[in-house]
Amino acid sequence: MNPRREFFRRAARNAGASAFVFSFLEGRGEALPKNEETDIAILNAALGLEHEAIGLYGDALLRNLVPAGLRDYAVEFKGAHEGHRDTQIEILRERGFTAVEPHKVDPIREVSAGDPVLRRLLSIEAAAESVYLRLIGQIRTNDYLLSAGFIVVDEARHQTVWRRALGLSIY
Amino acid sequence: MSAHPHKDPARRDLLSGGAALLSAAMALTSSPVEVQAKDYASRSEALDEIDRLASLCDMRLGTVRRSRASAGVLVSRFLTALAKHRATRDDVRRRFGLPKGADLGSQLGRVDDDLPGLRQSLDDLMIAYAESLPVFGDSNVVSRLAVDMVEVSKLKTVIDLWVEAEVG
Repeated sequence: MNPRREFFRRAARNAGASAFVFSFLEGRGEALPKNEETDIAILNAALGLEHEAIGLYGDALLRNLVPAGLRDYAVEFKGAHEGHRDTQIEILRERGFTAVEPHKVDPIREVSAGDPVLRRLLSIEAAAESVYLRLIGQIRTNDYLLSAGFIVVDEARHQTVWRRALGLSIY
Repeated sequence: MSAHPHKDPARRDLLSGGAALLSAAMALTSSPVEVQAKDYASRSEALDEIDRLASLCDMRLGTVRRSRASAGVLVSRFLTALAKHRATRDDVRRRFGLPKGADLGSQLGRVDDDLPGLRQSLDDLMIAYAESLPVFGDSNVVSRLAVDMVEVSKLKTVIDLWVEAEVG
């Protein structure tokens, strides 16, 4: 299975993403109805992604799995994901909903710093960008749409940095 | 959001710092959550502003290419991407029956060839895209413009990395 799809499948499952959002992301569903329920479902699915990313960055940093010269980026990106999480939790709370709790994130398999770890971090960012871009047009309310816009450009930045570190084409 | 556009540098700085800062600011303010950014009163106004900022990026890229021969290939790719984005915006204008955007190439004056200036222009463009999304009210258009916005973020990051490499 495509790693990005598998990543999101796991994160969405862990986050309890609504079935109709999940179907839409997999290209099996119709356009989502623009209503409060859709926004809440998107917020919770996105939160699942952010929890996954925070967990993986936390694991990588705690176990010194990020090469020393790139550690500052990992710290910055973990902070950004925490910001994304907090922003979306706040939006949910403002609307009277409780956010999904963080799920248990599978630890990174590698035991030393190197490209495989960076590829794992890149895969999270690529999945997050893909999911936000897929969902952003379905968001109903202006405050969340605006926040999602600023979140997805962060994901693009993270992805570009990791691609360069791995020697992949960045443009 | 208000019905009229405003441009508060402090608030824009807040947003341009990313959602992490946005979240921190929200935590400091009283609820309900209020996301503050430049508001566009109309689709046309938003597209005009994005066109203006994109033209500025075009000009800066042109000056960078003239002063740094080694950047030729990269700049050409950037210009191709921005031209594609322009075509998307023209298509959006047609979809909404809006007049074609003005050709701003000769109206923006001279620009420097410095990379930080180019980086700032790309940042301004990216922020304008993000701030404009709510005004369109159309899922398909929002999705298409978001794709271009993400590409601008990548262009900006490439310039960031280039600046870091030069400083290093």
